[in-house]
Amino acid sequence: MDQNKHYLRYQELQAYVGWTEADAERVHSVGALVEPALAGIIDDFYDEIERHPNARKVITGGAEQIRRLKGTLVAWVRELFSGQYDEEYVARRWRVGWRHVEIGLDQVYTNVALSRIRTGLTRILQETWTVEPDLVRATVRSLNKLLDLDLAIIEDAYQAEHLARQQRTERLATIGQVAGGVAHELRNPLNVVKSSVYYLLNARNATAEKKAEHLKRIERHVDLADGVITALSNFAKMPLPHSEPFDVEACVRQTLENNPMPESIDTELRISDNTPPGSGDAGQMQIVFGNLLRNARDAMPEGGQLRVAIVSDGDAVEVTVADTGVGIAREDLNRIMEPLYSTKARGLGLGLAIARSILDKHRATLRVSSEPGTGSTFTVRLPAADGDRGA
Amino acid sequence: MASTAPLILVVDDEVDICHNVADILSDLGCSVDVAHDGFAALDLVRRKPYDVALLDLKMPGMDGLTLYREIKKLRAGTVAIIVSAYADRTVLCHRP
Repeated sequence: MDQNKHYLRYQELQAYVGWTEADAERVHSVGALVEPALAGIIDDFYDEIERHPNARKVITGGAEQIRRLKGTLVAWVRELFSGQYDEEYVARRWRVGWRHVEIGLDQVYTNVALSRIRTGLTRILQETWTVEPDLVRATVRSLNKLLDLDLAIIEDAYQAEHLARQQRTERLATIGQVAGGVAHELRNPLNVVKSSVYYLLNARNATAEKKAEHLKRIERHVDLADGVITALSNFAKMPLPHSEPFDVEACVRQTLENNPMPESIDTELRISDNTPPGSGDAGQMQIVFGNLLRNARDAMPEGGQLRVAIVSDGDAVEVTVADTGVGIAREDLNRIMEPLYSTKARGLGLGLAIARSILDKHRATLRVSSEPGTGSTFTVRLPAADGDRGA
Repeated sequence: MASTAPLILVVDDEVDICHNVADILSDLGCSVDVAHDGFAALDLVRRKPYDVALLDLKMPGMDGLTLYREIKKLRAGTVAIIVSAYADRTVLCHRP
């Protein structure tokens, strides 16, 4: 499948340089002429590599490897004159670029090496071919197009493979980061559970109250651990939203109910008249609002005021969650929506990243303004459901 | 009786961990106080001659290692033990 994709790409590039059947025939016609000189060109090529340590260092297999590589290079040059520039031809070119990433050959050497081979081949045509100078020139032009196309496809393969490897490395780093975060977040509740269980099993003078206290503590920390897993799986496999008109007020009220605030926080919910239904997935929007509400709560450990407002301008519904908490430092403001970025002592740093990924899929936005020491305001703007406002 | 019970201070910013350790030690007959940060811990150390202080290494504000040194300055006789989920050689290398 990829092979076909590469071939389509090659054909596109052929059109770009104006490659025609006439070019193919001209290059093919001089195959026999260059054949006796190939060994010399290849030897010159490897002699040059010997003079460049950075190119030389990728050849680690000594004389045996050079002999093998020379064979590959002869085959490659010979193929230039085959006249068959089909899918297989392109696939073999693609593998050259792929291989260069594999062995760690800097791509600049492909460019200069090809330049050297180009010079060698051109010289043979110009110095040994006894035909009309116009035909020599036309054939050299055709050969140059072909070499440029080869170089382009090798370069393309190199870049694609290089990028793929880079992404794999980054993905592994992210997995490591997530694993570390999860380990940290789970260890604490597990330690509490374990030490409470130890107490319940071993305490000689435990009163009924103490036992009940420890059982409640275990329950609370199992819930905490469960929350960590839920956040993680929400992030890993959030399904595409099932968008339909939904009652934003009911959704916000439900979320407030699911995330009770401590008594030290004074909560106010204001809804403007004639707010239309929003368009979205109510279940996923609850995750968004839940994350905003819990952040607001965590930002006010000493208590404060939570102001939730729902307003609409007809096209969109805006839900604002404002707290009078610690606020967000300017340097953190640009990063708070990155996954795994957290300013809290506890937490995976996924809440806002999840919120944003959900809102992106809803064509909704999340704005934040914050003043350290004064508080933060998060505003979700999501599309209003079209037409039927009574839905 | 009470005067012979070992006097122990447990310092951890994780409140529930702190209470669990305190409950376990109390059940074993120790007299236990808890503190959730280094400054509160030092206040207690100034007032009472603890036999043992159990300190969490990673705490916001003052870490366990700094607290250990401060306690040793105030009460050379208190045995201070640093407890950590993150123990590694860099910590082991710090000697009083």
